[in-house]
Amino acid sequence: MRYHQQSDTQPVVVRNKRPLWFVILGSCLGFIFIFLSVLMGGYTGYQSGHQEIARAAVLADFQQLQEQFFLGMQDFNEGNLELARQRFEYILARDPNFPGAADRLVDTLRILYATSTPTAIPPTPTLTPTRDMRPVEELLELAKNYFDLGDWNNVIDTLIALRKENPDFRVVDVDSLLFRSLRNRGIQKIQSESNLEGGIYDLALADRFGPIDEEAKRWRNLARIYMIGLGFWEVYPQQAVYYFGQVAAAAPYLRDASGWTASGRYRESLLHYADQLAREGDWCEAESQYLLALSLGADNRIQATAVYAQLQCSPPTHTPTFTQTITQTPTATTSVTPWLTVIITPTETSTLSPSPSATVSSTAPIPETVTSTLSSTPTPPSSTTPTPSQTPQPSPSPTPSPTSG
Amino acid sequence: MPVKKFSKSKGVLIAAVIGGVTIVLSLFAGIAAHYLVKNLTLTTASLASPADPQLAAGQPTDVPGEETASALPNPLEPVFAPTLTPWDGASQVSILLLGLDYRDWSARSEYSRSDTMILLTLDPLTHRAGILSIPRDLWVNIPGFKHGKINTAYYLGATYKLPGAGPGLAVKTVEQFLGVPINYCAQIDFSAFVDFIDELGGVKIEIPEAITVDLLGSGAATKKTLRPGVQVLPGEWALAYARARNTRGGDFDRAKRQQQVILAIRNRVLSLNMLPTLITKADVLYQQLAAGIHTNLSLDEAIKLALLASQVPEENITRGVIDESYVLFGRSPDGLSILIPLIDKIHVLRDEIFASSGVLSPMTPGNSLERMLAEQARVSIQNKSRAEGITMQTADYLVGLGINVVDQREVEGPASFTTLIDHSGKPFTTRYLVDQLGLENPRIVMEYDPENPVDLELILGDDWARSGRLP
Repeated sequence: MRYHQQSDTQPVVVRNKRPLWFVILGSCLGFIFIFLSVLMGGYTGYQSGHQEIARAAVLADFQQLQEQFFLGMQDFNEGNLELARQRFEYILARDPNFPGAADRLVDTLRILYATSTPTAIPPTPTLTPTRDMRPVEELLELAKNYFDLGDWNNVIDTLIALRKENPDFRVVDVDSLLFRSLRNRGIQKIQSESNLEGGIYDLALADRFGPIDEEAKRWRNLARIYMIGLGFWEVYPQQAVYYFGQVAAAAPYLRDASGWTASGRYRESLLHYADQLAREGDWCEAESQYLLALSLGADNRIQATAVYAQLQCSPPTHTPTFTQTITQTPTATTSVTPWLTVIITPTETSTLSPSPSATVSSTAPIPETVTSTLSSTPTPPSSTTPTPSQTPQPSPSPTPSPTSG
Repeated sequence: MPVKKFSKSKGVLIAAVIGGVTIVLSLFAGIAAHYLVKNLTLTTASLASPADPQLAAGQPTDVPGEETASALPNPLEPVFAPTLTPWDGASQVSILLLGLDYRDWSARSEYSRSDTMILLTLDPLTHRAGILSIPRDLWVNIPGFKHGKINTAYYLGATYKLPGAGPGLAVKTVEQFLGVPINYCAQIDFSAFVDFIDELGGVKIEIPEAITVDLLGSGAATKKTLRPGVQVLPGEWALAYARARNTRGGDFDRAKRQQQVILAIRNRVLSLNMLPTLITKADVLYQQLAAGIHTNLSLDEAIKLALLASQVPEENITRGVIDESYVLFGRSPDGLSILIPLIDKIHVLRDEIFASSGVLSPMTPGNSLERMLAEQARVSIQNKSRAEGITMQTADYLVGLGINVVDQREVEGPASFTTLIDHSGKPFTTRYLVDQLGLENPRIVMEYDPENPVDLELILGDDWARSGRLP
């Protein structure tokens, strides 16, 4: 408000436009100021929220990896090397710099593949291929370079990227390169990546282009027989012996994804079969199977069982009798299987002595206290290989009951 | 003048007060906005986490569903990413569908077995698709564990907190068994399945014969009979139909019914042109169903695959069930009924569904002759058979068939069998030669040598000389 002089003596209050402008301007500025504050607050809130989410995600991720690392170490110490490997590989795929994971993976693989085997350590999982936007001509050249380097995965990925861009580009050349790469990758998967079925599948894909060669056929056939044998594992030991025997003769170190080799599977299935025969009372055949298993690797426990089978098969002519001075069940049979249940140890054999109290004949039923761990614990030949028998059993119900859904 | 002075200072005061209030207000508004937006952001993010699976409102069933049986923390979290083969967007994509065991699920068991395993495949290039049902009792090697029924892989993976948990080990087991890389995995709870079907307004199913189905819940009231004929089944009924196994074929029949329901869903979406509507509200739908679907598929990927699936005509969908003709019936060491896979037969089925097309298939156009011609392979013919003079005859014969023979000669022999040496990867010419020569057991050798002046060496053996196929 401003005062104007209406007369000499009387000041007159007149309205001035400026205060109103000030008010309007001030209000506007105020509103703008508030609005900007809200905007800024909102923005910082959004950022802060996202940062918190990211922090939480990183923390959760780290905790998850830490848990996997802990479980991996636990598996490693308990000899569940295949599980340990899965965990360490997972950790490294998520965080290649996770402290200790790479070392532990190397340790695990070193033990897992400690047996003298021509197979190579499987490669770590490849990361997500990003879309390659290079011209198709360059992609083809790149694929050829990868081929020369023997990097079949990258050849195939690059050719897929090429076909995505232009499926008709130099289609004959691309087909030829794909054929060779699929063929080579298939053999590689079977031979050195323990991925038998994956290799068979790659060779099946290669076969769509043209007939595969003798070498590829040979590997495919070995993998195929191995897989057939796996189907009979622990169920029809005689069949398993038949199939694994063939593979073990041709490629003893052919390995499956669980870390078993063909010779390991063969030896174990021989023991399964021998136990089955022993249960059926066919001691002589059982003995020959035990001896065959022994020929693949010495083992005192198998030796003792073989001796027992031999005694059952060909009892001494005087029909001597034996007393088992050790009848308690020795260690290491915690797992319960339908197979023969616990043990003949070398100590037991050494204490067998003639006694009038008991007569052992070839038709005698297996004493309940005299059993074999061999088939119940399918441990591969070396303690350094994975032991499916050590497969941790979930608690409280290890094997889900067969229920309907 | 004093008035003026007073007014000025009053004005300044008022302005200062208003300014102060404005600043305080701004401060409060800013802080409020900060926390409001922050909380909203956090809430929005947490919405993506799985809520408890709940049955649709009004479902007359007492199935408890407070907890999910899955160990997956978040459907949107790429928990499988490091364990599954990433999809490049161009090659064939495979998705493993997992359905849990109802008893485990309804008992709110922390860990469950997978009762249903269906492997879907889609080929974006050729617009072909495939569905393969895997029976739950299949006796397989479970990576890291002993042999077991395939449905226990999920349980073991979850129990032992393996990377990717139950679905991760289930995927790994199926991958190892079939050899087919799997890109995605989706575990669908019963409630999510029911909700989704209801969202579609039911699915039209042709029921071939009367069948008794068991709706979710327990007691005699849940038993219903579906009569033969085409019917539109609401979610709960469709689920019951897909779960029923009380027909002669048991699990194998059930697998076929499940495939029938999957195709019915597809047809329903396409026939009512529902895809655009579903995509429009996909976000909301996804949030609704998130509690019951655990997958490594993002929403975008799910939409992309749905669009892809919608482009596949029904006649391009190959269906397969690993049924009684692909297995032997047996007993596991602990007395459970198991199915022993017949590997060779399963390979044929697998290749029919997964390897028959796609970006990793030959794309050179034409028949076998045209493909051979397109390769322009240089062929050398060498005679190692005991028959003399057949080199030229064979060369003439092959030239007449369109083969580019660049060299022919007699070499030291003899060889009993004909051999083909491939120096540069000419699969079409090799196949054409094998077919035309009619060799039953040709020896093919791969000796890659790009510097070699010929692409293929055909070394004739006695088998060819004796075959009498030369004109």
